[in-house]
Amino acid sequence: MERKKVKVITGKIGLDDHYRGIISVTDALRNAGMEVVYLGAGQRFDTVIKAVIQEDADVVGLSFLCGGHVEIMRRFMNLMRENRLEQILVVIGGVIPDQDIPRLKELGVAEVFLPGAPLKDITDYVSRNAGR
Amino acid sequence: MAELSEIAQMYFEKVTDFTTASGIKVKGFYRPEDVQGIDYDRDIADPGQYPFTRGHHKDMYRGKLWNIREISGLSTPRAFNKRLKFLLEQGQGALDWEMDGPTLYGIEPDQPMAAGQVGVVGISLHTLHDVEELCEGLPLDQISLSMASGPWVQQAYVLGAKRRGYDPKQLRVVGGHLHYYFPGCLPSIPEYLFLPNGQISTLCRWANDWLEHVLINFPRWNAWFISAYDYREAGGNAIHEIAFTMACAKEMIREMLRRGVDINTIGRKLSPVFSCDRDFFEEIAKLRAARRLWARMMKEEFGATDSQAMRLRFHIDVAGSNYTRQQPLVNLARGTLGALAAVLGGCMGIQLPSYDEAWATPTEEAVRLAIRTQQVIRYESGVARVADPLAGSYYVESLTNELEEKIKSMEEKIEEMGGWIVALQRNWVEKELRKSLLDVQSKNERGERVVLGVNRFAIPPEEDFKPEIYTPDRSDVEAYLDEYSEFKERRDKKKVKESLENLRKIAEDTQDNLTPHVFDAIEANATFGEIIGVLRMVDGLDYDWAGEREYPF
Repeated sequence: MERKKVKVITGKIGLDDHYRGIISVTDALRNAGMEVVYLGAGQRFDTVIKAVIQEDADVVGLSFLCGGHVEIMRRFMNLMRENRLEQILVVIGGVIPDQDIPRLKELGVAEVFLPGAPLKDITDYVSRNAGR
Repeated sequence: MAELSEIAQMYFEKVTDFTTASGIKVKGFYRPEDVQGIDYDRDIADPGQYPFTRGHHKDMYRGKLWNIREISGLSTPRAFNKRLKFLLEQGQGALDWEMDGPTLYGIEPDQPMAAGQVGVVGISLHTLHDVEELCEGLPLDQISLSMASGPWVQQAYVLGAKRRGYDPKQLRVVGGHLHYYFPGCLPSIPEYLFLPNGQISTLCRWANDWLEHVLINFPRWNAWFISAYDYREAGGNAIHEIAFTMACAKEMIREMLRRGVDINTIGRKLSPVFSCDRDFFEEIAKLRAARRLWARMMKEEFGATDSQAMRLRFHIDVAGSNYTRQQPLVNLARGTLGALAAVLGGCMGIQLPSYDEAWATPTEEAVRLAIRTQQVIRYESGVARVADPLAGSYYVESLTNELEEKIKSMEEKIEEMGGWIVALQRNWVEKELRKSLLDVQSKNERGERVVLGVNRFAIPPEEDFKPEIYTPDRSDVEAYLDEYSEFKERRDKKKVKESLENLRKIAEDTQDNLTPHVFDAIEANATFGEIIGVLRMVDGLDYDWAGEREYPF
């Protein structure tokens, strides 16, 4: 039987226009054979949650540059739990200071990729851990 | 230690990449025949002479050095006011206000969507009161201020200055990237530009109205009409950057002409921000080509008669996207080269990213280093002595020509498509940028484009330099939010409501310029979020983009 393709939702939540990183990652995930729905930048929380449910996604990938990552992820992970989506792998990336990484992981973020991370590391991580 | 075979290879290493970043093939060397068709007076001319290839002014930096305009913006109006005074004391005459996300998006600071983002990577400004507090004690007629914001902050600045007794005509303002100015931005929220039916939004109309008002009323403003830097950071190359700027400018000029603004008035006050990326000679040639293209467009296509309206003056943001998190001190070298290209290209101002920007918001020390880097170029290198010192170089002149041709051909393509708005609406612009971005990214991944510390000469993370990280001081944000709520409660709500209803009615029923009615609303203490919300409602959109608030009146 053919293995189901990993399905990923990517985008940016909130008040941050910088989308260079997320576009590169989206493309890399597609090239690695995954099915990716790129929502774009400037998304609302509910739009992303709805997309996760409607698309029956395995993974959510979000990106940040403007400094609001901890608060946004706190709220987003709460919404994921409220919607019983704890099993979905949540991966984030962007300009994120080292000291924030443990806090993000405590919130339930599986992995944080920083600028310069090879795209292959990201795609390998996602395909290894999606759906677990 | 490297393997012996690798050492031998390195000794014999040679150049293998013969193409500029925008894909122009270059020769090993250039000769007189490469510049054969060039006529000095027609195509190059002296600095300050049409077509201004060599610079906007005959004296260039002997007349005035470029502005050192480092980005700044943090926390609340009161805290940032102190920082601005400190910067002025350090001798910085050109200031820059960067806004936080909520301010740029018109989200109120006490909304859930703003949580954690108030006063982060920019200052939080939401009312006239905020802007007045920010301006307290600053010599507004003496400073050159740039504001990357929507029209609301700029309008509030005019009102705040007036209240403090300044004549707005005396204010020297670099308009900043005018958010929502429809042709000039690539917003994340599509309805800011176009409505689902393809119509231009009321927010965009307002930005146009404001631009018209600035052109006519404020002689010392440079309406910074487009941040072409954004196209670059979104993945475009040098050709995209200038071609998109020109296409956008055409759209805007036609709109302002339609409104009856004189072409010479328009041309005298427009000033874009460009990027300086990493391909040193291509960036210099791009800036020279841009000045020439602009001059010819203004004169030949739009019939400008005032030579000042044909001179393209621009600010440079050195490309932050070239900075790496790995071996961050190497970013100092990258920034130096970017700033040097900007100066050799004849810019009017430079914002140089700090070396630690791939880590976090810069520390004061890192910003100081960025300022010092610019000062090394200014005072120690001697490059500012002579205008356009690279003119006459076979390579630079040939590359300037080639870039001009390629930019023109992209401009023509956009015109054939139906113009800039159509190109945006068809997503052609976004697709071009994305294609170019992914091309660069795949070259990085394959190692064809060297990124030091990332795909060559990488070192183990534990050996790498770890910069000190800036931690935002948000201790005053809670107090600010309390004051904000009190302010909203205290104001004359009847007056606020009347001004908002009036604005909405004017926007719905007429084509009048919205500027005076927005002034009224700001003066009546409506918040910026309320003004934006009302204008969204005119288009049948939700009052609050984040879906968290209803129209309060």
